[in-house]
Amino acid sequence: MIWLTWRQFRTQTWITVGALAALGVVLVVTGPSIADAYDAANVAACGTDCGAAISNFLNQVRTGAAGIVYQLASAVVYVVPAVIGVFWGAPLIARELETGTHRLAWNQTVTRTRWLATKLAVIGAGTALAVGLLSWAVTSWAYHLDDAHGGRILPLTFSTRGIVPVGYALFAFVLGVTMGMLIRRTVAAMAATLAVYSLAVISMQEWIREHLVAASHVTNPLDISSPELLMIGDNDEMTVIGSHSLSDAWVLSNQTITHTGQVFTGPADPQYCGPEAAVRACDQWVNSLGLRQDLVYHPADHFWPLQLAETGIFIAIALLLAGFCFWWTRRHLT
Amino acid sequence: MIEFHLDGRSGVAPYMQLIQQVRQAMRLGLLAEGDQLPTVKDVVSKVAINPNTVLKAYRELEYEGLVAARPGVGTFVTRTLTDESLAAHGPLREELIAWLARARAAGLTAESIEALFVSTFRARIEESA
Amino acid sequence: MSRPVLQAEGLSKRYGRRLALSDCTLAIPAGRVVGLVGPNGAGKTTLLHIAVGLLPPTAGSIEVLGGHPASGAAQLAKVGFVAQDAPIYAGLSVADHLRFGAHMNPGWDQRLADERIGRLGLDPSQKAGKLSGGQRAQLALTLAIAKLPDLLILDEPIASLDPLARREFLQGLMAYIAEHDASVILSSHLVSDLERVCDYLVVLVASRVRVSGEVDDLLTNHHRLTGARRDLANLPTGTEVIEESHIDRQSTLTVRSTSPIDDRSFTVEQLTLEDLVLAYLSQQTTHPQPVLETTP
Repeated sequence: MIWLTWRQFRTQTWITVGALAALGVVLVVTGPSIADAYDAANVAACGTDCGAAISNFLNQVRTGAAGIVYQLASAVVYVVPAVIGVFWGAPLIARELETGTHRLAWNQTVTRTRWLATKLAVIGAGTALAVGLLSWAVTSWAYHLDDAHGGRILPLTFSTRGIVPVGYALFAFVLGVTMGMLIRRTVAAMAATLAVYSLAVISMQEWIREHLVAASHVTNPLDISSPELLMIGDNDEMTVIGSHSLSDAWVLSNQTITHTGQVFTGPADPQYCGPEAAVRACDQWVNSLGLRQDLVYHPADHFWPLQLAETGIFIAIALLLAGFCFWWTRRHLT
Repeated sequence: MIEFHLDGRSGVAPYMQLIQQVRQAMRLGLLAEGDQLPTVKDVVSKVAINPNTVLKAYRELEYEGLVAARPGVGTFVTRTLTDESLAAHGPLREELIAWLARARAAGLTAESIEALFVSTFRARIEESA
Repeated sequence: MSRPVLQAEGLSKRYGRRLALSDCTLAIPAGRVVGLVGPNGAGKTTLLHIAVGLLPPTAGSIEVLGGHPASGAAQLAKVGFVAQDAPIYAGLSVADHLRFGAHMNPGWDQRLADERIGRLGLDPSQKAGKLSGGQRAQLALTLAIAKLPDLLILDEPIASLDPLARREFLQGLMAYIAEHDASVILSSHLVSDLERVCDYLVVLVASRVRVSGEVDDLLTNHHRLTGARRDLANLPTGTEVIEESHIDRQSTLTVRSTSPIDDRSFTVEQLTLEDLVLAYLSQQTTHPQPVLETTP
């Protein structure tokens, strides 16, 4: 059965190896230019005021190939799990059901359970290995660039680094197998897999991830010397958002609150903030109000706890789906 | 060696047809004493029929004393059905061929020839019986 | 008396409200070539799928070669199966299929498989997807045969083949069972396909077994009676009417009786197997009850 699984999967294996090798070459070739730019901008020794050094570093990188590769590599890691689910997972069982070859396989001296288990295990292992390698390579390669761009914990970057892509890929794969088994038509299963996978991943990114680990909550006195946003709308309603010094953090919410804990909405005093007022008068007036900045965020050191939690969830779902597949194959499939 | 053929529309059971063909071949001298009949596998490889049919035919022939089965070797003819009249077969066949040519030349169709022959044959056989 | 190769008692299969098999009882003896005949939709594929363990029955019991169909590797090794349309892996070559068989079956006879492929003139390196219909069927049969099963089950194996391919398929199948002691169950919707090779017949119509038995016995026990039009109550006892047709002053009956028919007012004729099956096919509309099988 292992021989058969390998034989049916031979072409995909070679394509994957080729693609990984090609990407590997690209990363190896462009890696040194990043290190060089990093050293040249002296980012390591920049201490607390790194703005200029980082700028220089990034500009240097953008002039070379590494800038494009950075975007490309992240895109690849983002897309690969979906591709695996759609092209490896969905056809795995669906194609056999469509062509009737499952009736050929199930009459050989191998039980249905072993048939399914071998397919899932062999290709699942291949998936984990390939995506693991891919993610490790890109995460290592992009280390300095991620830092310079504000940290790996930011949503889109997070999804393409560390072990999370492996969790996504395994989930997508088993999801594809499940859809294929239930729908019994390859193309329809591929579409369904893509739809459900996208929904799951987007839900996780947008709504669920931030709750996986308890976020940090801090309240500082508002320093309005350089606000991130100061806006006066209709009826003198104000929106004030201060800047913060949390580097490499994923900020979930940044609000300006009064001493009662309510969000500050003004009203703006026309004497300081009206059209007749002096240039910095509004800022200074806001400063004098004793407002505070309320920050909810995940600091950089939440990266690995979040990665583990999210990967764990997707792997757990994958295992549940796999269990369902075994049950369905034994009881319901003909 | 004899080669069998089956007529699905003759109304005669397949195993009977095989038996008849063996007897026929023996009468015509195509199968002589000591000749081997084709193996069951050989027969069914050419004529797609149930092996049991062939076995049944061979068993019947053995019961009639015409053949004998030697286990592990094959089935062999044990008698001759030809008699002294075999020598006459040759010239008689020639005459038959000539007669057929004349019938054809006279404009008889195949069905007419067959009907003429069969009715005359039957009448004569009954007379001489 | 060896044990039956397939024994079913009250076997039924229901899909939602549709009954694919109703109350089928069979005792098929070993060493036969069995023809399973019936129109499309009669339940032949369902019965065969249950026999090879692809489907569980809804009611009743079935035993194949003394074991339960879905019971595991040992049972699977004893039964060779070719599903309808002979599914094979289009992307794998002929040789790959043999390797597949060798890997998956402990009882695999590689020499037999190679010899058959050679005799059939198949190119081992050819992708199976490029084979003709007849060649596919032969490849699928080779896969089923080379694990040396005690029972071969073939679902409409020659339905979509041209006459030459049909002949070659049956030749190959008969050659195999001539050398190896195996039973075969073949299904078809045309009895003419199977007449030459079957010595046991099962007629399945509208989910029920109508008649089953040795072909010789069936042909001995069934006759066509033609005579003056009459009331059917006057037939000799032990005679069962399978099909009747009355035109003007003549009645034509297809009957089954275990004793010889002495009634001189009838002309008694032999039936062909096709006539017999057709009579049972027409029975479905008039007598929906199943008929008892002949003694095995």
